[in-house]
Amino acid sequence: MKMNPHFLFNTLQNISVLAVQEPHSAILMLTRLGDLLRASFRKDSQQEIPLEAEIALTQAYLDIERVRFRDRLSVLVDIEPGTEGALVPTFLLQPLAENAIKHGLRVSNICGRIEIRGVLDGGRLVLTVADNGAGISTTSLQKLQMGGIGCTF
Amino acid sequence: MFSHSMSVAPMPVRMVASLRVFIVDDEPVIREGLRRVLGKMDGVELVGEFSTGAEAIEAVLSRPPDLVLLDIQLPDCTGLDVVRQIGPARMPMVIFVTAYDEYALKAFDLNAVDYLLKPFDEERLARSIERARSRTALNQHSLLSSHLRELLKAQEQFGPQRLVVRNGERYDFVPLDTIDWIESADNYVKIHCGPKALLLHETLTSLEAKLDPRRFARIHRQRIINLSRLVAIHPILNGTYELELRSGIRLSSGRQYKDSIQAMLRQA
Repeated sequence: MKMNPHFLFNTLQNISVLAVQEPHSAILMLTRLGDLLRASFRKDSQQEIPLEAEIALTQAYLDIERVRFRDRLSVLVDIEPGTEGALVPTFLLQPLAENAIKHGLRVSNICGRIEIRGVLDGGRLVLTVADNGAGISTTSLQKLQMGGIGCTF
Repeated sequence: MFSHSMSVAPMPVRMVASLRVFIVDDEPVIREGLRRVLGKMDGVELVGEFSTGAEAIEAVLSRPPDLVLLDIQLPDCTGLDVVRQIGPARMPMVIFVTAYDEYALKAFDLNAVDYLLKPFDEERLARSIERARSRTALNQHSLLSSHLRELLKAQEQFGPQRLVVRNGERYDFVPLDTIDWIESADNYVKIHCGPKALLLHETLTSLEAKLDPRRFARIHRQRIINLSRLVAIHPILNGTYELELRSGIRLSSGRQYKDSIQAMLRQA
């Protein structure tokens, strides 16, 4: 799993600015970036990790974005007790959170809210990432090919 | 350890207007960092901040600054698209700011002053700005009104109006009227423009042949002066002279150029 170099270098530039003006934000960004880099250095990109760890990664990503774009972003995580240890592919949720920000929240200039939910449905784990942003037109939705996974940040 | 020099002379009046700069980057924190550094620099004025390509294009076309600090990856297009859209004739100087260097070479195709790779520090940014500023100093000539250009046309009929000097990986245009004097240095000539000196790979004699003799005079085997800089001629002995330029420097003439210096005296 390779990290997008634009994300990496822009985050580094943010850290260099914040190191002077807001050291606490700089440290927060640095530790979250460390978490993401560690996960992306794992050899097997399809490696599965516990849902709990995947959610932590997604939150690390959202923490960085919140500082980077001065977003007024709130995140709600609600997973059904007992599913924390369920194995999911690494970077399953992060691209969805990224899309929620880029295409949902940043264009609509509102107080953004992202909800990550996990429920058990029979023997299956159903994960949902929702935002209160601009939404998507039905035609665009129809054009989308659903079903791929990948790291896009 | 430290010595402080005191100057009793009044500060020179700043004749050069400040460098007016736009920042174009979609990341607020990065804009804050750029703003902070620009704010510390003398003679640099931040006159606009934009986060999209569309805003930047509109602003440059309606109220062009001297310099644009342009992020390559904008939400609606690339920084290169911004330059293309505005067009080379109307595009101010640009420094590309880029997170990843895949575009760097392309940026130079578009005649960028410089490009900054993120993360960069204050020093690198300041160096790029200075580079842009030295370019404006050399290009003051091109900012002359068209009226003045008409007046200068008579002179343009003889010789070039500027020299092209290779400077590292770029070429600098040196308007002739920014040149104070020229000296030969081995296989190069050294062109003195105020506090700056540029090297050009050419012999003094071949350069002399290209210059208008009404504006430049050879005074020594190794020296040519811009006649408009001449303020005094001091006779020394045996047909040699010291020619004093506006900057205060005195250059001695060669004996074999006695006639041309005496011709200057007769014209005066």
